[in-house]
Amino acid sequence: MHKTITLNINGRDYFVSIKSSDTLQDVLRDKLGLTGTKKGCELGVCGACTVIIDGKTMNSCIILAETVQGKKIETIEGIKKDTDLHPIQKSFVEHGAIQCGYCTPGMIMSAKALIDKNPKPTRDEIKEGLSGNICRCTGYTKIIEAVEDWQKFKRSGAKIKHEDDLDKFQTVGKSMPRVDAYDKVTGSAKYTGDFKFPGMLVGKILKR
Amino acid sequence: MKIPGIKLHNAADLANACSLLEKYGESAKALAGGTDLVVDLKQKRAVFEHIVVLGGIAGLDEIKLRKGILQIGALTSLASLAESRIIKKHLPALSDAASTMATPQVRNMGTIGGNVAMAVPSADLPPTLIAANARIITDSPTGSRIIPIREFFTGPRKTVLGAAELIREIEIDVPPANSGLSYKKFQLRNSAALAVVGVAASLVVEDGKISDACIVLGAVAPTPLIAVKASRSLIGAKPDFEAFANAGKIACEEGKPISDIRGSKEFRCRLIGVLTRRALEEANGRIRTAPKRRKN
Ligand SMILES: Cc1cc2nc3c(=O)[nH]c(=O)nc-3n(C[C@H](O)[C@H](O)[C@H](O)COP(=O)(O)OP(=O)(O)OC[C@H]3O[C@@H](n4cnc5c(N)ncnc54)[C@H](O)[C@@H]3O)c2cc1C
Repeated sequence: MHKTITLNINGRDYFVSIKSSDTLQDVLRDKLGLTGTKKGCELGVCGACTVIIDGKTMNSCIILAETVQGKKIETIEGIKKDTDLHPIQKSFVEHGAIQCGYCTPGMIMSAKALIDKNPKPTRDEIKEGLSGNICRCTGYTKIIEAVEDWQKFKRSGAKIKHEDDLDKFQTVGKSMPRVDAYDKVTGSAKYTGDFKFPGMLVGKILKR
Repeated sequence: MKIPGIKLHNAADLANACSLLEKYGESAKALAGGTDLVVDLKQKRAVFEHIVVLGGIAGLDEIKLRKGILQIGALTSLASLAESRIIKKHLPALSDAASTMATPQVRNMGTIGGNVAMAVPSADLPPTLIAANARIITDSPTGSRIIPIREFFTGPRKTVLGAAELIREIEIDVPPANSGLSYKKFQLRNSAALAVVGVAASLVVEDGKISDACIVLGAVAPTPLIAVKASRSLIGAKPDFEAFANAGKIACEEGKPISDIRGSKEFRCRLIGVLTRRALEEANGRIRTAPKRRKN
């Protein structure tokens, strides 16, 4: 049975038709197309689906969507201002704190919640703050450095190195951000599970 | 991973939640933070049609200190427990236990009431609550009752709670200054890992000698287990390494661990000894005043 609920996501009210059994992750990804919130373990362990609810990080995969009506939900799609990346996103790009990028949105949400509360976290506080986010490329060092360094990018309009050169192919001999870094820190990068086509068939591997 | 069809009922208050549970009987379950229940529903380990949502009930997530009694609302999050100034000051072992649990995200969602009611043998809060002699205050359609936590757990995922009975609050008398309490957990990682063994230990010291002790073992039996002999071995002893190590040795024999993916039975037995000793040492270090001299 479907019912319509209102969810406040990134400062905007969404009216959305859901089933009571839908998780917030299902609704964000499947109903609203906000696929920056990733699907990892689906059991509240890996942190890929981390969102911020009323200022606190939570795993959207184990939250029933209906229970978060009336709360302020922030997702990776909502933390940049217009085209200006959030300082944490800039720092991730600049530090190359991104490999495959699948854990990146969740990492950034945890990092944002951390610095919102504690703008100058120590290395140990950063490790603790990110301890609910698993990176299987195991690029933790650069991620921690990116969070440590975020204040550098705090000034609004602060640019990441060579940002203006990105589209101009003036890159030879320069250290450049990864070509897909922008998409990966904003949640707009598409992974296999993020695609949706009309009439799409979904296969499942059955292990024995 | 889809949850089969469910219907949510938002409880206005705890009495309303209890009557909803009574109305829907076996097909209903209460939902607090959902970090156990939603996972179980997803894995089809639990099947319930009616979910009674407690999250909207006001006033159940507060930590208060009143007349020497700590009152912790059932919906208090694990993160609040870990960070609470009141708990850190009066019962640091409980905030330590909470901060070893799960991940920051799960600690923001999960509640003390859920952890206790779930009664998983490896749960991190029960050993400390038992060593601190906590009382579970419940509501149900037939009224309210106070359950000493030592009588609460009856088996893995089993408690004395009735089907329509819910925890309102957990009460703990503030431990006296000449006592100390500690929780030590061994886990395979520092995050998102359940206890391989958890040990809570409390000590009361008078005139330089231990006058009371309670060692509680977690994850080594179907329910949290009070190591009675090990606790008794400490009474009258000087609070020193030798007494603590000896208690650890005795505690090893009292645990009834099984082998599973987190550790073998033998490994767990060794851990009990080490963690018991360490918990006792820390508990002893937390005793704040010089032992009181009796007047006569
Ligand atoms: C990734 C992950 C890691 C975890 N790590 C740990 C860990 O390290 N240590 C640990 O101990 N646990 C751990 N847990 C388990 C869980 O997070 C805790 O047990 C948590 O405290 C459960 O609380 P909850 O509010 O989420 O419970 P819920 O899932 O909402 O409820 C759990 C059960 O308790 C009942 N219940 C809830 N509130 C009440 C109440 N007031 N009165 C009566 N019954 C009630 C529910 O009906 C349900 O049966 C982990 C879970 C996850 C997903």
